[in-house]
Amino acid sequence: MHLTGPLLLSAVLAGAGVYGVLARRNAVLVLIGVELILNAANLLLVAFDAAYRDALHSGQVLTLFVVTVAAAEVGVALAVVLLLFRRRGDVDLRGARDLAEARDVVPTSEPVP
Amino acid sequence: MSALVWGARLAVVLPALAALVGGQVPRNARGVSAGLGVAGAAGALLAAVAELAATSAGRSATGIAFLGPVPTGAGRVVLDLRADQLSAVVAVMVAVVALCVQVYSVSYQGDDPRYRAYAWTVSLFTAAMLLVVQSDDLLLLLIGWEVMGLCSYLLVGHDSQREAARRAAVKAFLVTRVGDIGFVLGVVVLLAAVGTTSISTLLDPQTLRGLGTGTATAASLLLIAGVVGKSAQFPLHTWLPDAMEGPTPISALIHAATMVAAGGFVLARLLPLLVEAPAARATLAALTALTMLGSALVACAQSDLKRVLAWSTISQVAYVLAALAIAPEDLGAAPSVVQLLSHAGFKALLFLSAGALAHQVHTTALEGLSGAGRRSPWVAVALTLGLASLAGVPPLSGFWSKEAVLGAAEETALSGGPLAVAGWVVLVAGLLTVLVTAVYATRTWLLVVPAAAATDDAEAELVADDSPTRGDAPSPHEPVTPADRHRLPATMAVPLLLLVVPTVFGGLLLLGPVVPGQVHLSPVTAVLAVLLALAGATGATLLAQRHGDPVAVLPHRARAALADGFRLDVVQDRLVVRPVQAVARVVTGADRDVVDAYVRAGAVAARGAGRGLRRVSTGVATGYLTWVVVGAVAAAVAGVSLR
Repeated sequence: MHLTGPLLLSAVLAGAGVYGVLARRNAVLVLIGVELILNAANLLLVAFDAAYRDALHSGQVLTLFVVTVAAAEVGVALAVVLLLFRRRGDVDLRGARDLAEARDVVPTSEPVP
Repeated sequence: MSALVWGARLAVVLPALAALVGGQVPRNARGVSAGLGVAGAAGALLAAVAELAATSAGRSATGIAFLGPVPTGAGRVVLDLRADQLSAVVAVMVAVVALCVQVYSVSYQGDDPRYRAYAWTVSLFTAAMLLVVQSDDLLLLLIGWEVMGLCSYLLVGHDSQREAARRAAVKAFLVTRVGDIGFVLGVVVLLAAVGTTSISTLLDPQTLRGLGTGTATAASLLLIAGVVGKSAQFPLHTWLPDAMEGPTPISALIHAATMVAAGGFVLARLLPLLVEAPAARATLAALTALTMLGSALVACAQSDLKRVLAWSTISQVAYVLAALAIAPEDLGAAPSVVQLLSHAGFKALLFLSAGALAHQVHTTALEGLSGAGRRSPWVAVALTLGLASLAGVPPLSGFWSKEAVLGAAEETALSGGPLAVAGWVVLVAGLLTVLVTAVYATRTWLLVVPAAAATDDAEAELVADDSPTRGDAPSPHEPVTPADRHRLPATMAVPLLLLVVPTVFGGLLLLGPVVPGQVHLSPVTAVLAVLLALAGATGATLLAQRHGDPVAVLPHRARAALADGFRLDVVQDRLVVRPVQAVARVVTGADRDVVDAYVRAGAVAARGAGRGLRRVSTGVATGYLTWVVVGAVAAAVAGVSLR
C-alpha cells in the first residue's frame, strides 16, 4: 500500500485543524479543529500500522485509546462551552477573558528576603 | 546496711520526686507547692541523717545500685551511688540548708506569682546536689553537676521580667559552662585512662599508682577548671556577684549548699587523685590564694549587702579549695570539709537574715539598710552572729574552720615537702584574708546594725524599752520587732534560728566523729589570726568613726576599681566576650550572605519568571492554543532532527 494518500490526507486534516483552532472565534468550531487534529493523528497511526503489518496492531490499539480520550475530552469541553453560553449568551472566545492577568493590579508587597 | 543504702538512695530520690510532682500541681495551689517543696527537703534530711548515723558507726558502702549499668561500648559505666562519711555529712548539710530555704521561701516568696516553678526548681536543685554528693560514678556526678547549672540558670533568672536578672542568669550559665567543658574533658581523660568512670575504682590506690603523673595532672587540671567555674574562683568568678539578681533565698542555697559548695565537694571526693598531681595542686593553691585575698578586698568596697556576701563567698570557698590544694596527706580532706560545712551554716544564716532585713525595707543596698537592724533586733543578732563567724571570732564555727585550713597550710609549709611553697602562699594569703575579712565584716555590721542595736543584752533592752507600743516579751520562736514595725513571719524566723545553731556550735564538729579525716589546730596561726581579725575590726571601727564608712579612706579611683571587682568584667568583656561576638557576627554574615544567598536566588529567579509569564496571560484561549501549537511544532522539529 502506498502511503502518499493517507499522509497527504492527514496533513490536510491537521492543517485544517490548526487553522480552526487558531483562527476561529466560535468555541464549538475550535473544538472541531481539535477533533480534526486528533483524527489526523489517528489516520497516521492506522496507516502506519497497516503499512508495517504490525503483528500486535499497536497503531490500531493506540487509535482506540485516542478515540476514547477524545470522546471524554469533547464531553468536558462541550460542558464548558455550554456553561460559557449560559453565562454570556454567546460562545465567542475573544470575549471570554475572565482568566486574563489583571493589568492594573500591582503586587502589594515584595516578599521579605 | 539498709539504712545506709536506702538513706543514700532516698536522699536523692525524695527531692527529685518533690520536683517532679511539684511541676504538675495547679499553678495557684500555693500551699501544695510549698508543702511538696518542704516535704522533699525534709525527706532528704531524714534520709541523710539516717545515712550519717550509719556511717558514724563506721560503716560505708560503695556501688549502691541506682540507675544500673550503661552500655557504652567503651569502658565500664555503672551509675551507682555510694555512702560514706564525706557524702553523709555533706548531704546532711545540703538538706538542712535546702529545708531552711524552702521553709523561709514560703513567706519570703509569698506574693510571687511563679511560686510553683520556684518551689519545684529548688527541689530539683537540691536533688541534683545530693546526686553529686552521693554519686559513685563520674558520669552520674556529671549529670547532677549539669542539672545544677540548669537550675541555677532558672533560679537566678527567676524574676524574668527584669532585664538584669535575665542577663545574670545567662552569664551564670555561660561562665560556669566554660569551666564545665574542662570538667567533661577531665572525665573523658579518666575514662580513657582507667577504663571506667566508677569513683571507687578510680580512687583505689592501685589504680591511682598505675595512672601516671602526666595523666593524673591533666585530668586534675581539667577537673579543676570545672570546679573553678562552679565554685566561682578566679578567673571564672564573675558570674557569682551578678547572680545576686536572683531571690535572696536562692543566693543562700547557691552559696551555702549547692553550686558553689559542689566544686569543693567534688575535689574533696577526688582528693586522692589530686595528691598524684602536685603540679595541679600548686596551680589550685595559686588560684585560690589570689581569689581569697582579691575577692575579700573587693568585698570591702561593695555598696550592696548581697554583693558583699557574694564576694565573701568567693573568698571563703577559696579557703575550702586552698585546703584541698595544700592539705598534708594525713589530714586528708578534713580541713576543707570543715570549712565547707561551717561556711554553709553561716553563709546561709547571713543571706537569710539579710533577706529578712531587705524584706522590710525592700532594698539590699547598704545605704537603704542603714539602721535596719535597729528595727528588728532579733534578725540583727542573727546577722551579727553570721558576720562574726565570717570574720573568725573565736567561739564561732568560722574561727575553728579557718584555723583548720590555716593549720593545715602551716603544717605543709613547715614540712619542706614539694608543696611547701604552695603552703606558704596559702598561709600568707589566708592570714591576710583574715585581716581583710574582719575589715569588711565590721564595715558591713557598722552600716547595717547601728551601734545602739541589739548586740548585747543591755542595749537590746534599751532599744526594746524605747518603743512605747511594744507588746509582750519577745519569745525566741517569734521575734517581736519593736512597735508597729514588721513582724517577722514564723516561717522566716525558724530557719534563722535553726541556722544559728551550726554557726555558734559548729566548732563541735571538729571534736565529733562526724568529719572524715582529722584536723590539726596550730596555736601560732590561731593567735595570729585572732590578732589580725582584731586589728582589722578595730581599724575598721576607727576609720568608721572618722569617715563614716571605712572605705572612704581610699582614693576615689581605687574605691571604684574595687567596687567593680578590679574591673575583671571589663577585661573579660574585651578578651573573651567581644571576640566571640565578632566571630559570631562573621558566622551569621556568612550564613546569611553566602549560604542563604543560593536559597534566596531560587526565589528571586522564580519571581522574575512569574513576572515575565504574567504578560503572556492574556485570557484569550486562542492565544494559549497558539503556544500549544508552537510547542508541538518545536517538539516535532526536535524529534525529527535528533533522530
